[in-house]
Amino acid sequence: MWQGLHQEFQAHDVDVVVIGIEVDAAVCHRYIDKAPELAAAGLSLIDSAHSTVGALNFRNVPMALWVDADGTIALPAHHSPVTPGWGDRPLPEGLPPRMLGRLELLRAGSDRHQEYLAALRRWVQTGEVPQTTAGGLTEAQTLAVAAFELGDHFRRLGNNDAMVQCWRDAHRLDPDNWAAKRQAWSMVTTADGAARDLVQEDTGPYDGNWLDDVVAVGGINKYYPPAPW
Amino acid sequence: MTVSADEWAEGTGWHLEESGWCSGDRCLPLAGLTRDLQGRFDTAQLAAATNRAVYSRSDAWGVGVVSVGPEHGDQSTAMVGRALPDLTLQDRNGNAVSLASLVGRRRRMVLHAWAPW
Repeated sequence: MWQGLHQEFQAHDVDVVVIGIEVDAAVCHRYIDKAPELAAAGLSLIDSAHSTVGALNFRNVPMALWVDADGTIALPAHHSPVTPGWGDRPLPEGLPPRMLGRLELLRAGSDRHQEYLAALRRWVQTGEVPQTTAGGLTEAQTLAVAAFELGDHFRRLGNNDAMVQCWRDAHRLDPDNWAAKRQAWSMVTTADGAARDLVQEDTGPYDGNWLDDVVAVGGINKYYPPAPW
Repeated sequence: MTVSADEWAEGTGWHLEESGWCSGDRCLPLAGLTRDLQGRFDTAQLAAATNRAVYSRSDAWGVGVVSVGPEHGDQSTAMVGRALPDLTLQDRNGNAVSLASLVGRRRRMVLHAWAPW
């Protein structure tokens, strides 16, 4: 979808920059290779330090931020649904219970992609921007960012025990930093190094998992807070 | 734990100038910040003065390692109209790309975050 928007927005002199957040850049590269629309959706960058999480408040994905020509923020970080949600699509049969629960949760979310695309196109074409009062990160949220960063430092040194301690702290300090949680969960492996069955949400040394945590925060509309329009 | 002015500038973008610690058009006075005999600043004190959180752990050898978080802000102050923070990311070929270098190339810019997880 961003590929199409990139082409559409070029006519209005608007850049699209897609940023993949992942501590292992090679994982991003493999993903992009399988999803060439990402490579074709404007400039494609990789944030292997999660620096956009703290600096731009990209604490979940997909999120976006709009920037004016003078480099000022026109609209701070917000959920950016450019593709349709699950809506009333039938769910496949025979899914494991937790996968089914996950899809049912996603399906229960408000599908606001049409509203979002309309607002995005209005800004691109006229400069009209939705009103918002979004502020900066709290001290606890920035402390969580620092904890995640130190954990990643230990990960790069091969000190996995220290990494887990830091990342557990990051999750505790900012339960809404889904980037920190999902990054950690995605790297949990079995003893012989194979990827865990994340469908069943085995998050190893970390507390919580996607399904239970999203339910705990109040459902998908809290996980993806609606933009202010 | 202490930090030199150059180390702090490299990590946070706040530079030591005659008028104090400055970033962009903002400056904070040096008053109240102590320095050791080598002219280094106390990390926790400097972080608090510049609205940053400090997280620390010991490494495998028992040496303390500190991570300084991004600037936390007044929740009542809207982000709208603030300058886009300058971050350095990588393109697909591993080249460093500064977000600041992308500003002004076109009339507007949309940053879109995705992840493989």
